Amino acid sequence: MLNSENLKSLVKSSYSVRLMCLKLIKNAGSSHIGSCYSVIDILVVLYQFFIDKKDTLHKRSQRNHFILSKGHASAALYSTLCHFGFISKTSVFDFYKNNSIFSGHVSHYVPGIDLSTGSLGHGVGVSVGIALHQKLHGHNNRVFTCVSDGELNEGVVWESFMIAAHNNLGNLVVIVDYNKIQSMGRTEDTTSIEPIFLKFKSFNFNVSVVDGHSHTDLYKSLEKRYLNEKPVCIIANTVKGKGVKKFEDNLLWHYRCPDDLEYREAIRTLQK
Amino acid sequence: MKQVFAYELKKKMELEPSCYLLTADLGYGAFDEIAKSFPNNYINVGVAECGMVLIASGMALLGDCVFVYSIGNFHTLRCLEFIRNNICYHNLNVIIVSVGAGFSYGQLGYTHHAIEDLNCMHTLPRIKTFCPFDSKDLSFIFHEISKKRGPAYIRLPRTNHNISCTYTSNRSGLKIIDGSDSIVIIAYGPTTTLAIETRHLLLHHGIDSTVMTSIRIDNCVPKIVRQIPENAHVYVIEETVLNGSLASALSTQILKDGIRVKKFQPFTINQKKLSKVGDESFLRSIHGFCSKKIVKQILVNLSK
Repeated sequence: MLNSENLKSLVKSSYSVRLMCLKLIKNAGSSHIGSCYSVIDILVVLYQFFIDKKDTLHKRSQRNHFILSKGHASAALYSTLCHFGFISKTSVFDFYKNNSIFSGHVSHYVPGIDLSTGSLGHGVGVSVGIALHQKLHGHNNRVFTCVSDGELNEGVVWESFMIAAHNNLGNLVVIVDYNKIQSMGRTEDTTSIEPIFLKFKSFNFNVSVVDGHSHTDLYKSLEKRYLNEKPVCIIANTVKGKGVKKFEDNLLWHYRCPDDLEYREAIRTLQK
Repeated sequence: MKQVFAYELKKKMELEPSCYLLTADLGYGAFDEIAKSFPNNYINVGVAECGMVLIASGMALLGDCVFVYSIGNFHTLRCLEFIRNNICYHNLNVIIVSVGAGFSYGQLGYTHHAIEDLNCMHTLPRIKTFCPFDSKDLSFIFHEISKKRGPAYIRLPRTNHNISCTYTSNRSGLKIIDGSDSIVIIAYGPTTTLAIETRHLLLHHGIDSTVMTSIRIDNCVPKIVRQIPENAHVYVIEETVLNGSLASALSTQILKDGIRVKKFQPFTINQKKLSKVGDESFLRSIHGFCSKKIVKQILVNLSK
């Protein structure tokens, strides 16, 4: 249930996770801070309200699942898992290190993660499979999967969406982290995915568009149950690098690791 | 052969409620019984092989045993990355079943020639590969995959070969017709017929030979190599290309183990003749492996 106290807690969580994520990336000298920051608000709402820690760590089949199909936002997910107590603070700083389980793309060897992703397009289909399993076994659980906008260039995701809709997988929730920037430039300049709302609608999804950084909007859209059995798509309008002005809406932060000065400035911003 | 496969699968489904069959819009007439008896366990995803492999992975992640079915290359070569990253890397209980091994669908053209699929599967980790020759082999395969869960690839020929022969030994799927120590003919799946025919033709020339065939391919190399006598002529007949073939794995192992052989010759597909179409026998002949051509080559080698 969302109330003012939860909302405050979510805001704190989102800053805390951003801080941790920044530290992880700086410590590792790795990329993708932009992609991480656009998805963090989605992650904190999911893990605050929709993903059960105990069931997930015990890998119970009857539970809500979350698959991060955009596996390059690993630092965001690891930070979120750390914040919510799935993994320890000390272990997570092995991120990107030699022989670490915390690989640069999401790894199922990390407690709390079901699927290793990193090659775009895979997580969606696997999520459909999980949703299908739940339905066939009569379980009343949901599967949440987060995809990137660039990932919607992959043909296989549309195959998977078609199959999901045909099989009435109303327990599947696809969240599009729509930050408008992919590897080589803006999505509209690469291969445009618009009209994205109409695409999902025509694929027989229940579709909503939300502010991907509004915890209220995110919560309401994730919580919403439809009367029909269609799968759900939440198009979350986000900003790449959201949370630190310098990182925002800039392709550079798909790749760059902050230098020392940028790092200190970002820490100050987030700590405020 | 797909009818026999369907029969075995139905038996398995009767015992395991969490056993599923996904097909990518293929298998007409083969799965009617399964669809009727287990309507919730049979899903046609349509012409969406990559989606099928991913969905199977998701189901298996939660404990289901999932068979995915299509022809030759469609859900193997096309889906290689999906198999690698999901089924193999996560060690999932997904069994990939392809029908139309080798030139089974020879007349349909290159797109339907499954001549690299097995080789590619062998580059992936954790996947058991099986090439049945006849219906008895399928019983063995189902027993093996039930014994130990995990990824598997079953490569079905189009027809169920019922050539009769008596094996001298049959241990864990490695079948041997014991003959002479000086000539060893190795084959599997549909080319087993060729190996047996070659042996019969050689006998007409007064030459005996040993035939070895294995149902399971991924782990058979050391077992086969252990059986190869010193100074033998070794012939390997496969309806695949040479790179990544059993022949190439055997030759590597033989060299590694320092086993002396007088001759090692693979009969594999000639990649310069890919545009040829025709039935199985025709295409095998074009690529140099029909029993008469193999015998001719063996006789030439023996005369040297």
